[in-house]
Amino acid sequence: MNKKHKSVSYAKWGYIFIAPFFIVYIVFSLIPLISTFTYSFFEYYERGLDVVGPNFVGFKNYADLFDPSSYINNGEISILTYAGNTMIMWIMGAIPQLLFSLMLAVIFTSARLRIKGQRFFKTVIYMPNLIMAAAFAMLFFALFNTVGPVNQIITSMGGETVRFFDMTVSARTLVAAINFIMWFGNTTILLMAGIMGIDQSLFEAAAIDGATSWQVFYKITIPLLMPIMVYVAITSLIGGLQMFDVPQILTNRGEPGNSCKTLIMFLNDYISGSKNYGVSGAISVLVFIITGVLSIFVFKTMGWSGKKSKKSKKGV
Amino acid sequence: MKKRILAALVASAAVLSLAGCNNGGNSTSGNTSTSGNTSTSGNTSTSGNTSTDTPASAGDNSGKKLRIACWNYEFAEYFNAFYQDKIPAGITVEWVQFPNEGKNYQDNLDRLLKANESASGDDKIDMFLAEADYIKKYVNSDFSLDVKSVGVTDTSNSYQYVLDAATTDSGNVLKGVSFQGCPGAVIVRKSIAKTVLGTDDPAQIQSKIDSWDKFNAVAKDAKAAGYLMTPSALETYRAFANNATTSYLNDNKFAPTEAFNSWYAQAKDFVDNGYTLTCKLWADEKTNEMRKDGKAMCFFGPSWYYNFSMSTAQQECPGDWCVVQGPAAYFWGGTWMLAAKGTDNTELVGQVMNAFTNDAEVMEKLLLGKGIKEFSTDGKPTDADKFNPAFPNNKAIVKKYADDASYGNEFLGGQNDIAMMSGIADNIKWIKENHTVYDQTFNEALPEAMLESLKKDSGVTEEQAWNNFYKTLAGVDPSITH
Repeated sequence: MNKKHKSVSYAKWGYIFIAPFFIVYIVFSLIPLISTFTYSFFEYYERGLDVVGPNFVGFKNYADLFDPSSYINNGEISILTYAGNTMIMWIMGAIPQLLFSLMLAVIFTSARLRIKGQRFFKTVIYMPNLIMAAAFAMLFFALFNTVGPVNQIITSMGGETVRFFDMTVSARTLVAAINFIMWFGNTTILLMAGIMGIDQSLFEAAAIDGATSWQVFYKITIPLLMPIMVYVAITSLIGGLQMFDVPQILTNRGEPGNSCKTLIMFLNDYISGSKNYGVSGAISVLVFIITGVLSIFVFKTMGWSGKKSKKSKKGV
Repeated sequence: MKKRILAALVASAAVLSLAGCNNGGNSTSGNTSTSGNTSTSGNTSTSGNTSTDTPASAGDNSGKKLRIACWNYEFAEYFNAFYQDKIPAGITVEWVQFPNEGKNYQDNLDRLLKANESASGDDKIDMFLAEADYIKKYVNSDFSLDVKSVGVTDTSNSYQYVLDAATTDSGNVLKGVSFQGCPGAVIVRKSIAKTVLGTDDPAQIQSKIDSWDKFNAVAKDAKAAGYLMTPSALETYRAFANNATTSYLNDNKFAPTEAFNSWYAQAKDFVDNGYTLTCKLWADEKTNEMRKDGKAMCFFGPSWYYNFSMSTAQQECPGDWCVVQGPAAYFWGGTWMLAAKGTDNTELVGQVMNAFTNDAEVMEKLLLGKGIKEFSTDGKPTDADKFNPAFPNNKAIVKKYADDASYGNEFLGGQNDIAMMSGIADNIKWIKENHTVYDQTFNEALPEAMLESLKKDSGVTEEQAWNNFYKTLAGVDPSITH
């Protein structure tokens, strides 16, 4: 009897300890998630001080988002344009970031180079991540606007004022650059952890067999680092799709034109404009679907499957 | 046992935090600053701890706090300087501030007003401030009170357009009053005018830019002399838009007005010919033109603009400016005081409104701004001394100073700007039918969207700019067609 009581008691504590997480998850994630899906089928917004709806309209919000002649679109399918903008700015930042971080991670973990002051460098490269994205964007705006220091340098050297925020290419590049600077430190540290998790004896064996640095990199580091790379790519992708604060502040809500407007900025137009829960719910659901599809795409293209990872983990 | 207590604590903490958030609908989450001796110091957020479970009853805390919703501390500064000592003992004043940007202030204010009647005494908004761009929305709603019902009966000294703006569309009920008038002038850089126009006398300058045709012709001369006519293509927008003869919205269908088209034609001409810049109204690039070596001749703005927002010019080149009426009478901004439905401080709100419209002493202090020192009797000169003057919404006081030859504004080289501004204020017309609840969108987002098409490097065509604006409009109100 006593024994039984004890075991029941343990289980109870287990539930109590995990309960806060589930309560928080249900209230802050699950219920909003479900209501987002629900509202996306309703007409529900504010006109001035009046509330319109909620009236059930079926898939009308989705249809409007994809109908070029609807009030949302004016001749094009805006959501695709904004998804395109988001992907372009993400790729411009993420690919160089991944390559650069990989290079740094390999250099820092190299047994041959034995870089000194690693802790210092790790701290320094991680630091930009501690600054708020909004503050970072404000800083870049101050630096690159028409009367900012960058333009002062250009004009003092005899050049003409460059209107960075008037041109699509430069505005997008600056957005990508901020994301790059903010996140490469984080990626580097993740990749370093991944590389350090690889069994050193593999590197030693390769060295004894006379493998060159490139061979070690391609044949040992990269394949065994793949699970971490996939993780980094997918978290970066999800972060990229949710890109909002940097372009919102840096480019004054997506200028020039709407060329820097991202999906979440599009969503924000409807939330801050008229509290339109219907349309913004539909946009959120679509962003959810796009994120899911692209994550699967990343999984596939990086040649990663559950089996392989198990093997490589065992190998490690 | 310890474990059990700990677990209970963790669980209750989680539950409590959730309960706190569920009340969030009614709780205040802006910067609320309780006014002490200085205006903006000590912003205390009262977020979270305002429980609204208990229905409002005329309980202990009723009427103990005067809560005023605002988007900046301009009025708060005047209030603290001129009215603080008249607040009855036992009542504290709390400023509930949300930045104006976009629709942020309106969204937060709407949330508070909707919950105002059921809020407890400490959480009620008693008075709120509204700007010209969205006053129509609140005046025609049930959330504002007839000023007569709070004890404001005499508005004879107010400018007509200020009253018209705060009068309901149907029934002719006055819902708000204002302490300031915002007649817009052209703020001219005298040294540049001397080169371009050959004179720096305000009357002479006015005679050369008193119509848009003349103004546009002078722009060409300014360019020829190496100067800019205006610092931004957006500068003249309100001077056109305020004089529109039609509304942007007819039966909820949007169409650009004739006034808008005139502005766009001028902006395009100015940008193409290099008479102006393509920066925004509050851009650093424009501020740069206020510097000592600035090139722009004409800035457009009311008295709060040159007293409050041209600090760069005030530091670097004071005295080199004058104000003239320019090609069109217009206004920009303005702060109206409205009594919130559900207030538990009706009497005090009425007193504040009366003081800031009819009290000759307060209005005179407002007009003089920096001259407050002379009035100060209670040992508060240092606080008061830093305030900028405003153009008061009180014809009697304005007349007194307009006729006073000894009065002059330092920044404007001693010019009597009150005389000039009072002439404009009499001519401003508020045509109710031409204003919409979306004026902020039409006055900010619309010209900014169209400005994109004027920028050389942007690659945005006029048609694309319109499309982009229609998309913004769809977010603001899905029911508007175009």
